[in-house]
Amino acid sequence: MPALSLRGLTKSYESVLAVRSCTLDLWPGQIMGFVGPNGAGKTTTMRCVCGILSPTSGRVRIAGHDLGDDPIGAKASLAYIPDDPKLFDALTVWEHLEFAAAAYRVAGWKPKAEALLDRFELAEKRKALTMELSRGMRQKLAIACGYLHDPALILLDEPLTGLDPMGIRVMKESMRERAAAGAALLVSSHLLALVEDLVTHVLIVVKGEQRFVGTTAEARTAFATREGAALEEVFFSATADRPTDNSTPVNGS
Amino acid sequence: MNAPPAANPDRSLLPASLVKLVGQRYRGVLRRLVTGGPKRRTFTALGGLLIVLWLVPVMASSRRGPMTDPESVLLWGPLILAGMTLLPILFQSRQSPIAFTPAEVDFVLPGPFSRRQLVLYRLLYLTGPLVLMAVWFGVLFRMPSGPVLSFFSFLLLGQFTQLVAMNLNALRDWLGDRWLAVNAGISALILGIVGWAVMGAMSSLGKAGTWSFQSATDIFSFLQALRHQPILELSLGVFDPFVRGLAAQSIGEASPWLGTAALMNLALITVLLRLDRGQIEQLVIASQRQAQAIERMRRGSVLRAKPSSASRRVPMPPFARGAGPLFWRQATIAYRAVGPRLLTLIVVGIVGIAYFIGTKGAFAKAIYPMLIAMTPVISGFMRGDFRGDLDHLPMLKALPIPPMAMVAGQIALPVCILCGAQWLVVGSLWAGMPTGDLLTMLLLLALALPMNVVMTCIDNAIFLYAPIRSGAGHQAPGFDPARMGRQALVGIIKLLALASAGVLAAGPAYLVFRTTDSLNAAIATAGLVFAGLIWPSMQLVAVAFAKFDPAIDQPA
Repeated sequence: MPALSLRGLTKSYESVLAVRSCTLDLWPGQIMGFVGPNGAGKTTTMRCVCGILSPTSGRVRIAGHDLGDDPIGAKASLAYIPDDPKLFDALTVWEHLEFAAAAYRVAGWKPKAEALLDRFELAEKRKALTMELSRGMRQKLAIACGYLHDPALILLDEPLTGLDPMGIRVMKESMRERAAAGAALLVSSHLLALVEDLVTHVLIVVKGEQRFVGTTAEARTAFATREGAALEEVFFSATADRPTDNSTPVNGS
Repeated sequence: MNAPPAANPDRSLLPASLVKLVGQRYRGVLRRLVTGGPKRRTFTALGGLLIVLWLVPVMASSRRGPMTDPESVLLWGPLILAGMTLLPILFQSRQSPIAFTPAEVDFVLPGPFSRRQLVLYRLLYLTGPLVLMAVWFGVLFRMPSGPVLSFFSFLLLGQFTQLVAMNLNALRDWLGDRWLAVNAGISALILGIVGWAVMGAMSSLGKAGTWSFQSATDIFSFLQALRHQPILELSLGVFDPFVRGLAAQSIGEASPWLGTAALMNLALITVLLRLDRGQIEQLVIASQRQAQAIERMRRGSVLRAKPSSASRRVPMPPFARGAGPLFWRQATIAYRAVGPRLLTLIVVGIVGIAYFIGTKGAFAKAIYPMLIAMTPVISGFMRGDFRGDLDHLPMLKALPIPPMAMVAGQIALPVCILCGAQWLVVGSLWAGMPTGDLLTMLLLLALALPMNVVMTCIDNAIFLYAPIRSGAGHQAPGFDPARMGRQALVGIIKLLALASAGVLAAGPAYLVFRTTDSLNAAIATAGLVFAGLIWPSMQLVAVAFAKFDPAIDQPA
């Protein structure tokens, strides 16, 4: 069963078509890079997938739960970490995890929370109010809260922005571990060089249209002019002004 | 390689570029009034209509209506002015009027401008709201000197209070660590003068030591005696030019006073520039402090929790389909912001005052229904629900919590606070005069619960349909007709909702009263009707929450 299944996901605002008929399957263990120029509809797509925005049309299924018919089941199976997470200033680091554990009903959450704090170098700050944290720390805390309930699908919007080199390394390792443990990750990022060695698949969107979805190898075959081309080159080639190639959904592999 | 040509900064008192920026920003403010989404445009139109509906009759009646009494202006004006200018000293206000918006910090402060130029730029920018205020007050208070002179009087007066605050701020920067001692000295002097005047007033009324206020007339006569104390007359003399200009009967009479007032303001500007230490860092610190406070307000948080409050905890309630953790989060945040000391002070204050009123007899009886009637007004000021969570709404929407549990968890805190306050007041009143019908009182208290829920739901539903940021106007000085229009609409909707609920409850309650001749049975019936409205009201909020679209509904 795919962790995420989109069929014709469309979101429009009056005359603006923010996302046009996005279709894909994301399977457990896959890490999909979600790339596109500014205003391509990445954040809107992610917000539709996690139930913050209602799609104009199309279906969203998360770990077998239809977001329209069973929103609670679907939401319980995912974690969404926005690009600029808004934390609660007056709650401590630990209390954010406590709240996440309570909201997602995570049994025996404390050892997991401790491990996550250690992992993201937040253990020393566990009693600090989040208003005292730097942007990078806030980002790490939001990610730790997202990981706490072991979601089947993790949506990360620009997860590496604001992190120091060590933070980036830890973050990437943690994403690989999550994928190895069976989660599927959809990672939106403009930092192509940083996510290149991380992603197994890539979804390219331009002006709300899905230009390509498939493995990184398939993307290189489709767009790169030379062997071993960087993801950046693939991106520039794919997002150049040309007809859309709506490829088939990614199969589990 | 040739070096780039050296910059040639504008060293004039106020660079043309900064003047231009002020103009551009005001153009931006005007642009903001006419742009925005359909909701904002509707609110702006409604606000504009209200202004016209208010201004036209006021201006039309200005030719025949009574003038503001010049004697009252001369008597009370200096006292009000003194309060406005000196209170920040007594309370050691850290809010600096020489603070810049984050955009100014990023784009203007690094520019080739001196601190003096920046301060003058800020002064010029702040003149806009003062002009608006002067026009507003000029229309509102009909002064004998006429609209033009009263406009200038109010403008100078506003400038004066602003400049005093700015000078104090500059003095604080200039003195550094010594400021605390100076501030304490000034505070002691003010308190000394006020204390001396109070003693004098009591003495002149011949009631020193045994003075007690029995009625409003007593308070008024005391204030009059206080105002005429020589020490206060002398101290408040500094405000004379402003109030005499305002109370003048002709241009000839007003001119010397307004001229003096203008010179005083000019002197304050000169002092302000002289106090300049030439450091922009102080401006940045003050700006950041102010920006943080505004940002907190924009997010909907009224009070700020201190880092030291992290040890205060609220126990986690049962899950309750997700409502429990949501309530816990709101309660923890509120408890940290208020703190146990302030909370105790508030509770003791409420109990004490209510008990005192209770001992006064019949008046206390009127408080019960009044308290309930005040619910719609008070609930409008409450936070700790969706109204304080504007930036967190996307996160809340992503949580696996059913809509009704979400609504219950979000509104629980303000409802608890409202009920708690009402029950505390009524309980204390009854303790002060335990002669009323206990059952009636208990029934009224029970009625408060469903009423509070319904009113809080209405407030939240309106907020979610047309969200607004608390401090959204800070970037655009002056008033915002859209905000005004929205407030008016909210008031009308709440009034209509309350009237509808009242009619729904009053009909059956009246029938029961006619049948049983029991007031208590009628109150209980009204309570049951209100209780029946809880579910639909919560559904209304749940639908509004589901419809809320962060991409278009979340104000910037």
